[in-house]
This record gives sequence, C-alpha cells and structure tokens, in this order.
Amino acid sequence: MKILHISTGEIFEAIVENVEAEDLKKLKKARFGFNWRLEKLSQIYKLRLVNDDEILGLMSLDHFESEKRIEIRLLEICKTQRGEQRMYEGIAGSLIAFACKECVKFHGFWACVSLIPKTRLRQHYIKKYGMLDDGGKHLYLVDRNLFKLIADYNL
Amino acid sequence: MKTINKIKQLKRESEEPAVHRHGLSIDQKVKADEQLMIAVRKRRSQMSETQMQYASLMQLRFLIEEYIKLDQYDEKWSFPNVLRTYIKLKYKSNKAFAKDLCLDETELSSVLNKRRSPSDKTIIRLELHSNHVIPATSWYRLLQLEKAQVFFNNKKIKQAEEKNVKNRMVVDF
Repeated sequence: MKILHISTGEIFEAIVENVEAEDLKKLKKARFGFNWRLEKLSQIYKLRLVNDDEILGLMSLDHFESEKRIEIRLLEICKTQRGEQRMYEGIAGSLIAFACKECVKFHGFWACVSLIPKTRLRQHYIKKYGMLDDGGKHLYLVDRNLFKLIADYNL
Repeated sequence: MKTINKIKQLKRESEEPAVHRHGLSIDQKVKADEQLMIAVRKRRSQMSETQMQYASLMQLRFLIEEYIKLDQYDEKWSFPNVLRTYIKLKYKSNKAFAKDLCLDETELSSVLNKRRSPSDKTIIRLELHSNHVIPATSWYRLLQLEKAQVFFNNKKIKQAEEKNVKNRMVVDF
C-alpha cells in the first residue's frame, strides 16, 4: 500500500503488520494517546513505512464471524501525523482499507467492515471513505464501497 | 463564516484519532449491532451476480497472495486446486472454460489432474482472463512452490542423479 508524503508529493510504500507485545511496551504517550494495552484481547495492527520501524498508525479489530463482519474498535494516528505538521496523508484510509481486505479474505462477497465514530465525525467518514450510515450508531462498508476503498489504497 | 467552520472542522478531524472505543453499554451495543445487520442484510440482498463474482475473484487473489507470502507449500493451494476454484467462480463445466481460453479440453484436464504442468501461454491467458486481477506471476509462484516441494524433495530423483555429479564444492573448513 502507498501513502503520500504531503510536502514533496512523493509516494511511499507502507505496510500493515500485527502488533507484537514488544511494540505495545514501546508506545509512548507523546505519540499515542490511547492505552493500547487495553486492546490486547482484540487483533491489533500497526502501519509503518516499509523501510522505517516507526509506527504511524494503530488499529484494533473485532471479528464477528457469524455476521461476516469486522469491526474497527479503535484507530489512532500517531500524534506527529495529525494536524498541520503531519508529513503523510492516507494513514487512516490505508488502515481501514486493510481491514476491508482482511474481511474479504474471510468472507468474500459477504464482507462487511463497520465502526462507531464520534457523532460529529460521521459525515467526514461518509464523505472521505464512502461509508454508509445504518441510521443508528454504526457506519459500514459493504459491496461496491468496500471494494472501491481497497482499490483506492492500492491493496 | 462557512469557510471558517469548515477549517475548524477539518482541524478537529485531523487532530483527533479516527475511531474511539464506542463507550456503549452492552445492551446499547447489541441493539446497535442488530440495527447494523438489518441495513447490511438489505445491501447484501441487492448484490448482483457480477458483483458477487468480482468479490470472489478478489478473495481468491488475496488468499493466493497470502499463501505466496508464507512461502510454504500447501497441497490445498497447489496450482490445479487453485485453478479448479478459479474455474468454479464463473463456469459450471471445465469444457466451457477451456473453450474461452482456446485450450484443448484434454490439456486442461491433464493440468487439473497433475499429469502435466501448464504452458507459459496458458498462464498468460489466465492473467488475461482474470482481467489482470490475478497476475501471471502469481500463477507461476504457485507452480514454483509446488515444484520445489514435490520435485526437488523427491529422494528417488536425487539418488538417480548422484552418479552424474563429480568434483563437488567443498563445504567444510
């Protein structure tokens, strides 16, 4: 997958991997606000550049197999990559697209990825990632929108 | 005023983590999930045959990529088995598939039954048939993994070739 270096317009190769116990120990409050150790029971993934160990984003997933659905429990971008000082664009999108890909591996055409965002951010996710509103708490991706996101992030 | 609000919104979005823990009670979460599944089921029921086929093709592609990355042979992912799965995505008979790829039916049958390896042309045609979703390189890697396991680990072949090799490299100090 690829993420954009904003100031140069250069595209960098990024990778999403399982988070190891060692990674969790090394996480600093200055870089990630959430206590990611609380997510231990879920599958946690990290995004980094292929040639750099620095973690740029984290995501925890819950797999609801009977519903053929993966729920993004928590997704956090490194504090240095937020706001105007951020260097890269596409970290959150790449992580969401990765969740979609994982779900397709398991469930093919039934794949569904959902998340519960803060109310005021709902429209942002709908516009930016093509998420659908269930009329309740969840936003979700299925069929066309899910595969479009995978394609948009070169997965 | 609108612009200022927009800037404020964008600033807020880029400063906050994307998704928070939901913070719902168990009951609220169960209800939220039920509501979600109603919406999802409705969308799923509207999927066309073509969309389902595309999704299955992408699923196969991702699983092949994952298998190749592991770099360990697994019979389940042998070339003939994957080809069988591929054919079933769109065809009810091997004959119709062979026709669409201008392959001789007996040649296809031999490949599927491991009596022969697919030709380079067949592999190229497979890539073209999948509209490049499953590239020829992926089909090749499936073959390579199989060959490395089945052929080069064959003790009989190794023993038979022993007599043909002389002046071997030194592997000890």
